[in-house]
Amino acid sequence: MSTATLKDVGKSHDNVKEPLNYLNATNTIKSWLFTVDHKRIAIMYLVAVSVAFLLGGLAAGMIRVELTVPKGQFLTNDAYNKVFTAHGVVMIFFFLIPAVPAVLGNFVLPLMLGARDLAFPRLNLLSFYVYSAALVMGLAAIIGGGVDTGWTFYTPYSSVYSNSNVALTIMAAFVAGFSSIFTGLNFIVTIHKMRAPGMTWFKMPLFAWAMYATSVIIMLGTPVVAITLALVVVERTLGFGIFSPEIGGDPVLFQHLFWFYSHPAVYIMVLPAMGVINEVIAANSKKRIFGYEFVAFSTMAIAVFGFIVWGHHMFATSQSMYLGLVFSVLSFLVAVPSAVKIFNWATTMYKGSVELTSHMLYAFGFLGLFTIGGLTGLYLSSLATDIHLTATYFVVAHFHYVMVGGTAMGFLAGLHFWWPKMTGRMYSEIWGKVSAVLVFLGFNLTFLPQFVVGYLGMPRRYHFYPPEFQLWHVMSTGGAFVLGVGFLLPAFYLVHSLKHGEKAGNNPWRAVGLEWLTMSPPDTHNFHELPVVTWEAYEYFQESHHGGDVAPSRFPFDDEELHLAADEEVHV
Amino acid sequence: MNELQLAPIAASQYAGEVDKLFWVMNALTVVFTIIVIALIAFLAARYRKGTNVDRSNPSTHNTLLEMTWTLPALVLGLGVFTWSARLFADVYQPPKNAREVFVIGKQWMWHAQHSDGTRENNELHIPVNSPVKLSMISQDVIHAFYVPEFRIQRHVEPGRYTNMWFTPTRVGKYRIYCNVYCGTQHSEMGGWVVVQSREDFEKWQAGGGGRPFYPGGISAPTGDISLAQQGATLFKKYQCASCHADGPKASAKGASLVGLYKSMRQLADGSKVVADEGYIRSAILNPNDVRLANTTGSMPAFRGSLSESEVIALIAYIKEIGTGTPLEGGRPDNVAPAANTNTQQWRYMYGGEQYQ
Amino acid sequence: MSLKSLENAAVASSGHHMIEQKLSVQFEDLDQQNESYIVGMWSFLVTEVMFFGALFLAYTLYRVMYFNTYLEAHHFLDVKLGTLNTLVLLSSSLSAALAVFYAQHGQRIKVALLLAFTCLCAFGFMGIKYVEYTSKINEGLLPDQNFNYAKALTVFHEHHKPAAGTEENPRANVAWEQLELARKANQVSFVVPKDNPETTFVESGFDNRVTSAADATARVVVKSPARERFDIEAGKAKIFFSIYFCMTGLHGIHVIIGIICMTTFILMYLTKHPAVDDYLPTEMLGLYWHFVDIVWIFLFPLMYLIS
Repeated sequence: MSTATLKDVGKSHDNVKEPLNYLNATNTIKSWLFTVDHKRIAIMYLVAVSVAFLLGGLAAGMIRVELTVPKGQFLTNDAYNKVFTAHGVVMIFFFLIPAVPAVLGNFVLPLMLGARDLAFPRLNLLSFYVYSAALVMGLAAIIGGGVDTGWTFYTPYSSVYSNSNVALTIMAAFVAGFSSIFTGLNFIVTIHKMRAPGMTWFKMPLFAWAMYATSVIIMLGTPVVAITLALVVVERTLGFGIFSPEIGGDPVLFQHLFWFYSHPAVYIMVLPAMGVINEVIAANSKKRIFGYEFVAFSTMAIAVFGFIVWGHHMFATSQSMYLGLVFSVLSFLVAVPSAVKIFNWATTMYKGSVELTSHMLYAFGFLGLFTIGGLTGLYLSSLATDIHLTATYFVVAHFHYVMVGGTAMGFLAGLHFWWPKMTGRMYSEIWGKVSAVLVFLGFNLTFLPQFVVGYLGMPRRYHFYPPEFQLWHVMSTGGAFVLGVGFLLPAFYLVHSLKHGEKAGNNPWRAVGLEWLTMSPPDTHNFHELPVVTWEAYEYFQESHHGGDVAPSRFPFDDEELHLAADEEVHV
Repeated sequence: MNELQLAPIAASQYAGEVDKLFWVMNALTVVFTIIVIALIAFLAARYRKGTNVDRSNPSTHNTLLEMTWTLPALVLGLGVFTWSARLFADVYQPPKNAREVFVIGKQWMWHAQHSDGTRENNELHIPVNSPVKLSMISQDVIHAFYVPEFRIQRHVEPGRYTNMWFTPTRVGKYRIYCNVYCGTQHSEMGGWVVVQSREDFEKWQAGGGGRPFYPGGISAPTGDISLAQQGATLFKKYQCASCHADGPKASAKGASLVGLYKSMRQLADGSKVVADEGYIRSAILNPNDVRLANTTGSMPAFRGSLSESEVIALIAYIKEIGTGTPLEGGRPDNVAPAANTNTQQWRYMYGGEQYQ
Repeated sequence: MSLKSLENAAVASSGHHMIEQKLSVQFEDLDQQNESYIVGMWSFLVTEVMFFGALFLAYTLYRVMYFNTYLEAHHFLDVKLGTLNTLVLLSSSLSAALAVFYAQHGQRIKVALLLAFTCLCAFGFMGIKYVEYTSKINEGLLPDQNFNYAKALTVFHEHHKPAAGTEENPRANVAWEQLELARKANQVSFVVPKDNPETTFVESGFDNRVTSAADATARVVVKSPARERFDIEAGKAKIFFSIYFCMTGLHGIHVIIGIICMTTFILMYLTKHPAVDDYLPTEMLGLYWHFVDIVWIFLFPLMYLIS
C-alpha cells in the first residue's frame, strides 16, 4: 500500500516561496478562459452563479418591497409579473440547478475520488461557456422587456396569449439545460471510471453518491423539458398546434411533460446539497455517517421515485381522480428516504466529537429547515389539503424552505467547508457564524408567515391582496431584509479572506477524505501519484473514551507532514 | 379585524373536514420537527468536542434503529394519505340534486350562468345549505376558481369543462380568486360568492338578480329567459331542427336529440362515450371529432360561430329535450356589461371596509 | 472482456496494426480512457432517447385519442419516398460502421471516403425530405395558420382519381364523399379564386350565402363574418401534421448536425489533423449516426405505415 505524500506534489520556482498550485501556476487571462482544469472552471462557475444569485435576489427584494403594502408600491401589474418570473427563472435555472454540482461538485469530486480531473475536461469547459451563453440570453430577455408567464410557462398563455419575450427566455433555459447535461455526463463517467484504485462504490464519500444520483436525474429529465419548451416556442412562432385547445390540442399535456422534468429537478437541486451535508456533518462530528448504506440507497431511491410523482402538481386540473390517488400515495412514499437521511445525520453525532464551526451551523440550519420544508410538502401531497393549498403562498413557503433552507444552506455550508481548500485561506470564523445565524433567523421570519397567509387563501403570483393579510407580509418583508444581509455577508468576508485570511493548512478541519490529502490550494493536476484506497469512507477513529480530540488513524493524516509544503519549498 | 386569524372561516361542508385534517397534520409536523431539533440540539451539546462523556464503541449502523424510525413515519404518512384521499374522492361526486351553475372564466373576469337565466359577473349568489355544482370552462387561458372559505378550487381550462361541487353552510360573502396565473390582471380577477338564506336568495332572484350590495363595481343586469329557453332560441336561429328532431319523431338527416344527455353513443372510430356536457359541446363545435358510427358526418362545425356562453345555453336546452317538462321560466334578457376599469375592479375585490 | 483484448483480436484477424492512441493526462491507462469515452457516449445517447421520447409520447397520446385522424391523414405521406429514405439511411449506417473499422486500423483515406459516402447519403436523405416537405406545404399541410386540409384533400383527389374502390386511400375517399355530400346539401362550395386559379379551396356559408357569377370560370362565395372554412376533422389533422413536422424536423436537425460533424472529420482526416490520430472520436461519431438511423427506423413505420 502506498500512501500519497505531499512530497510528490508542488513544484516551486526559485523566486517564489509559495509552491505552485492551480491558482498561481499560470496568470494570463487566456490561461483562465481556455483552462480545462476542473478547479478553475469551478471558480469561474462560482463567479457566474453568484451573479445570478445576486440578480435573482434583487428581484426577490423587489417582490417583497412591493408586497409590503396591499396595493403595491411602485410596480405596475405587468412589471410585477415580469419581476416574479425573472426571480423564478434566474434562481431555478441559473442558481439552484447548477450551483452545488458545477461549483462544489466540479471542484471537489475529482479530488475526493482520487482523480486528476474529471473524465472530460474540455466538455467541462464547454459546459461553462454554454451556461454563460444561456445566462446572457436570459439577461437579454429580462432587460429587453421581460417575460411574464411565470417560470412554469403554462400553455396556452405562454404559447399564444403572452406578449413578452417568451421565446428568448425559453431558449435561455434550453441552452442552460445542455450545460447541465454536460456536467451530469461528466460526473457519471468520472464516478464510474475514475475512482482511485481500491475505492469501491461503497468506499466512496456520500457526496459522490449524491452527485451520481443527481447526474442520473439530469440525464433522464432535462431533455424532456428541453423538447417541451421547444414545442412551446414552435407553437408560438410557427403557429403549429400541439397544446392549443382550439385545434384539439391539450394544454394539460404541456403540464404533464413540463412537470415530468420539473419535479425531478427539485431533486437535482436538493440531492447535491444533501451530499454536502454528509461531508460537513461527518467532518464536524469526527465520525462516519451513521447508516452509510441506508443513506446511499436512500439517495438512489429519491432519484428513482422522484420520476413518478410529478402529477402532484396537477391535482386541481382536469386530471382524473384515480391518477390523483396514485400520484398522492407515491408522493408520500418519496418523503420516506429523505426522513431516513435526516435521522441518520442526527444520529451521526452520537458518540462523536462535535465542533460547531460555521459550516456545521449551516448544516444544522439545513437539517431544521429541510425538515420543515419536507413535512410541509406532505400537506401538498395530501389530496384534500392540496385542493385548498395549491397555488397559494403555502406552496411558496414550502418550496422556499426546501430550496433556500435546503439547497442554498447546503451550498453555503459546502462553500465554507471547502473554502480553505479552494483558496488556501481561512475566513473569519466569527463572521461565518454570524452569517449562518442571520440567514437562519431571517429565513424563518420571511417564510413562516407565508404558511399562515397561504392557508388563509392568499394566491401566489398575486400583486395585490386583501388588507387583512398585511401583517404577515410585513413580517415577511422584514425577515427578507435580515436574510438579505445574511446572504451578503459571505460575499464580503470570503472575498476579504483572499488577501487577508490566514493561510490554510492542508487539512484545517482534520477531516477524512482524499481532497484533504492535497495542498490548499491543490496543484493543477491534483495528485501525481494516485492514492490507493484501503480505508472506509469517513474512517475516523476514536482514541479516548472521555472527550479529548479524535484523530483519524488509518487515513494518512499527519499534521506535520501536511503542513510541510505550505511552509517550505519542496523540490521534486 | 382584530383577532388573529390563522384559517379562513369554514363556510362549506368540506371546509370543516379539511381543517380537522390540517390541524392534525400541523400537530404531527410540530411534533416531528421538535423531535428532530431536540435530538440535534441534545446530541450536539452532549457530544460537543471536549465534553466528558462516554464515547466508547460508537456504532455506525443499526438496521433495527432504521426500521424504528422509518416504519412509524411510513404508517403515519399512509394514514394521512387515506384520510385525505377519502375526503378528496367526495369532491368528485356531486349529489344528483346539486343546483348547477355554469362558470366561464376569461381574462380577467368571471361570468356565471344560473339555469334560470340569471347571469352574474364576478359574483355568485347561492342559497345556504344547498349543494351547488359548478361546471366551468375558460375562453382563453387556464384559470382557476378558488374560494378559500370553502377550501376548494379547480382549474378552469379552455376546451373542456371541469367541475367542482360544495354545499355552503354559512351565510356571508366569501372571496373568489383566480388561482392560476393568467396574465396582467391575474390578481384582480376575482369577486365574491354571496351565500344567502333561502328567503334572501329568492328575493334576489325575483328582483332580477340585482345586487343587494353595491360596491361601485360592475353591474350585471340579468335575463328573464332561462338558460334552456335561451338555448331554444339559438336552436331555432341556427336551424338545428332542419336535421335534428327535438320532438318525438326522428329525422332522417341527424341524430335525434330526445333523451340524448347521458346516453351512450357509438362513435365512428369504434369507441363508446357518454353524452355529457363535454360531448355535446364537441358535437356542436367540432362534429366530425365525435362522428357517430354509420353516419356521413355532414353536420357543419359551429366553432367560431358560437361563444362558450351560447354553447352552454344550447346544452341546457338539449338536456331538456324529450323530458316533457316545460322549459323553466326566466328573467328579462340581459346585455353584456361594459368592461371594468382597473381601479374599479381593484376596489371591488380589495376595496376595504365598506365590503366587510 | 477488455477493449485491449478486442484490439488484439482485431489485429490478429485483420493483419493490420491498430493505431497508436495517445493517453490524456487525466487517465491512467488507455483502457480507462477508451471505456470512459464509450460510457460517456452511451450516456449522451440516453439523453437523446429522452429528447425524442417526449415527442414519441405526444405522438402516442394523440394517436390513442384520434386514431381515425391518424389513419386518414397519414395517407398524405409518401410511402415510396419514406422507404427510399429508410434505405438511404441504412446504407449510410453501413458505411459509417465500415469507416469506424478502418479508423481503428489507421487507414485514413478509406475512412475519409466512407465518411464522404455517409455524408452523401445524408444529403440524399435531406434532399428527399425537402421534396416531401415542399409538396406538403404546397398542399396546405404545414400546420400553421395557413393550414388547409380541404385543399390537401382536393389535390389528393385530383391526383388519385378514385377508380371505384381500388383507391389505396379508402379514408380519403370517405372524406371526399363527405365533402361531396356537404356540397350537395349546399353547405359548401368549391371556390377557385379569380386571382389565384392554381388554388382551390372550400368555403362554407350557412344561411347568409350570396352567390354571384362574375366570371364563368369562378364562383365566389361571400363568407358571413362569423364563419370559417369548412374543415373536415382539420383540427385533429393539424395535430397529426404538427407532430409529423416536429418529429421529422427534429430528426432532420440531427441529420444536419451529423453532416456537419462528418464533414469536419473528413477534412481532419484529409489534413492529418491530430484530433483524428485516435480512432475513438470516429467511433463516437459512428455511434451517433447509428442512433440517428435508429430513430428514423422507429419514425418511419409510426408515421408512414399506420393501419
